[in-house]
Amino acid sequence: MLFCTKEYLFFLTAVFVLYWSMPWHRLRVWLLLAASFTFYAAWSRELACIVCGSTIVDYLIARGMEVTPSRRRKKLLLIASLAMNLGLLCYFKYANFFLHSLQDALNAMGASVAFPTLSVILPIGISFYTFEAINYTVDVYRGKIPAEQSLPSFMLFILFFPHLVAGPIVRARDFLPQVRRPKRWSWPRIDLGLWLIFLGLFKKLAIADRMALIADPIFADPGRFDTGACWMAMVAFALQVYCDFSGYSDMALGSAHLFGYKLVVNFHLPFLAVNIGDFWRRWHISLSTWLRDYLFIPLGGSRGSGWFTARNLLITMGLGGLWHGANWNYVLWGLLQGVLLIIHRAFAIWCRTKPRLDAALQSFWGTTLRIAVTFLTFCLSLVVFRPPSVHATGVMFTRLFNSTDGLPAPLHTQAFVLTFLMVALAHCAGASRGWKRWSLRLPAPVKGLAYASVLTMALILGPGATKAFIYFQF
Amino acid sequence: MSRRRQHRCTVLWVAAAFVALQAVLAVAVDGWLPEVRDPEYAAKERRLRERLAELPGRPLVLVLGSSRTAHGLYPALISGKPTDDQPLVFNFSFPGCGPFLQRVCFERLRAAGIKPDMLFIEVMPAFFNLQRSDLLDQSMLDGARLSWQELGLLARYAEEPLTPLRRYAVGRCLPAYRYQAELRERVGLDTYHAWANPQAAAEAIDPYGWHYAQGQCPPDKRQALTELAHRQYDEFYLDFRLAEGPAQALRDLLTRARGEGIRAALVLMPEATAFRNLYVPAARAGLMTFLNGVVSDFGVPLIDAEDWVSDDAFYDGHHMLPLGAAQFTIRFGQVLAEMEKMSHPASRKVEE
Repeated sequence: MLFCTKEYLFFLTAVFVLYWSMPWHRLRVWLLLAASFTFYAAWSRELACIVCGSTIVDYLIARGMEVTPSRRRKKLLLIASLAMNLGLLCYFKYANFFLHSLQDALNAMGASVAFPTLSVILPIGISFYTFEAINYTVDVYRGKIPAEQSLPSFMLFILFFPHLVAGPIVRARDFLPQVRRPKRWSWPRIDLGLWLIFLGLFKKLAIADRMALIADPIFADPGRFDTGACWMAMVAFALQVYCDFSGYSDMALGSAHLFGYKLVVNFHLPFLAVNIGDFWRRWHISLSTWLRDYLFIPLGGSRGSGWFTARNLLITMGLGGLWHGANWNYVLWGLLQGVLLIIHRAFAIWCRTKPRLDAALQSFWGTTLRIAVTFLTFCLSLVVFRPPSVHATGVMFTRLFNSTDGLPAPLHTQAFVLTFLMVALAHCAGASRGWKRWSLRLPAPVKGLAYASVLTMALILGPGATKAFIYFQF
Repeated sequence: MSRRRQHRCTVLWVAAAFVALQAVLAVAVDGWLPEVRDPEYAAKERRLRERLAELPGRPLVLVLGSSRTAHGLYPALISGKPTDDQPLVFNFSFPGCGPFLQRVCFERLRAAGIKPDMLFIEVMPAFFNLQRSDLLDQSMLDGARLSWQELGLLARYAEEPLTPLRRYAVGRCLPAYRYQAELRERVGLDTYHAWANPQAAAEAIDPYGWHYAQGQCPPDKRQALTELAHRQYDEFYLDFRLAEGPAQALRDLLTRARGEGIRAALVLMPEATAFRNLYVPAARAGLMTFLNGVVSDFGVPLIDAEDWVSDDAFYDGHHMLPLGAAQFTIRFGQVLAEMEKMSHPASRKVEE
């Protein structure tokens, strides 16, 4: 059930009406839980049961951690929880990848082995809810939050349908207090929720799916296309992946607001980032902060030498890349991000010794240049991320940097340029305080017309067959 | 205004503005943007106008029919050239076009000032056979293509036109969704390079209105398509119960043509042997009784072309490959030549 389908519209409307027609808070929690289970079971009942099962085990483990006085037993319980969550993740998502990689490595060394391919269906959203479960048990272990007493509340934290399949990755300390708090009807929340849903729909249908018309055929077979088309596809994919995922996040936030819940903001104008570190503070914020808090800092963070920090960055980003999917492309992409962060870190330290250069980079034109370089770097890194294989990445890079003839892009340039300008303008407006103040003061009819226009444009510009959200596969 | 009240007003205004935007779009699509409402028809009319401008003063022979005719009549083979005085034959047929849509097309053409000298009307038996609970003429009709007035016309021929009505309702309640591709096309947003045009196959219509199919059809694909065609149509060969609505639409079309002084003829399009042999004698007799009644009531000829084309010239037993289209069109041209009295068109093709 994609967020941009009629099925979801009917589902959301039905749950919304039932939810607000119920006077009792506990009953509402149960309703949301039932709705979330139905939402997931629409894909697979068996997998929905697995998610519920692992959630109940995490609940019991956390309760056990809280009541046991023994530090050692607490640690054992934490390890059990991590082993279960990461074990499920590895089995469902990475088992075949590891087996095939091992097989290729052994064959390359002269052995002749053939491991069987496991018949495993990847549970949608497993990477997201696994990280949520981990942050809960780790925080309970660290004593940062108490173990949740109510099973339905805890299950809702993991299963809440707006964030279940593609995030944002919510933290227990943010979400569980919201579950406990009785909800009151709030027009500002409904207003905000609707706006976020319409905005997300527009991003998904009018931008992401349209840019896919350019990016998909070219990344599938870059050897057929000319250099200009390949550059266009690279930038189109950057716009696609941003609008696809941030559109999903907006719709998730909007849906949650309709029920009185607030999820974390996942994107903050990432294409205005002035360096790669800044980029990761604006892009998929819930994942990057999770990686920071539960991987980078426990590894030692930046508290040691430069080499030690570089090692931690590479491990964190490499695993972050692997989180995106069972493919060497993603691992390479993650490592590349790590290398870029290391280079940026070294450059920033070096700049401190050059005050004039530093001042020039802080000026308006310097900032514009840094934004452009960061955007271009991110786009180029996507050439590692997007193609189906490492070989296709090589073909794409060859096409990008050797002027070659071939087919033009599927869509004419003006459709692409218009979309690019629209995203750029939206970023500039989003960063402008004046725009925010002005939009808050708009009279209700004007705002209503703007919302309705955005929704109408999303419907018109959306290609007939809606593509699945890119981040569903992660 | 309090903050709470302002947000409540915004939410209510969203609903009102969305309804208003859809209403404006629906009115525009219904009244002012016929090419958005029915791009298939608009493309054909555009091509017809181009041919009329190329060959002014020629008698115009229009052929209205379903996909059988759309694929089977290749008018460029027999239509006039600038150097001769042959009639201009134009294939004005569409997939799924039954008696009701034929009537609508005729009225639209007349409203646009285009008057044929002769009208060939395909009578596809399945459209006149009340063999299923839903009439084929209605189940295949996309009501969203119709204008409000045309919907009124539909009410004359159908007691419960639920399917076309539902499609019309979706088109008018959510025009931004139903006509999304057509609207994008209209404002030039869907400008694909030729190699990547997903519409290319659907719009494979030649200047004379012929829907050309691929020259060859691999045996496995042919078998699959033939099986599909038999699943769709076999039941119509087993019994014949006259569907009053479509029959009345055909009669009204013939009445309109006669009123305008346009000569008309009925055509039974070719079918492969396997389809022809399916007829139960009673079903065949029922169909012929109906058609003979129309022929005698209106004094129009019936061209029975069912066995004009060899079996290998179909790709599914009733839609013709280019080879079949050539076979059919040459014989059609001979019949047309025999049906004289066309050489002195009395009226201009495009009325001022």
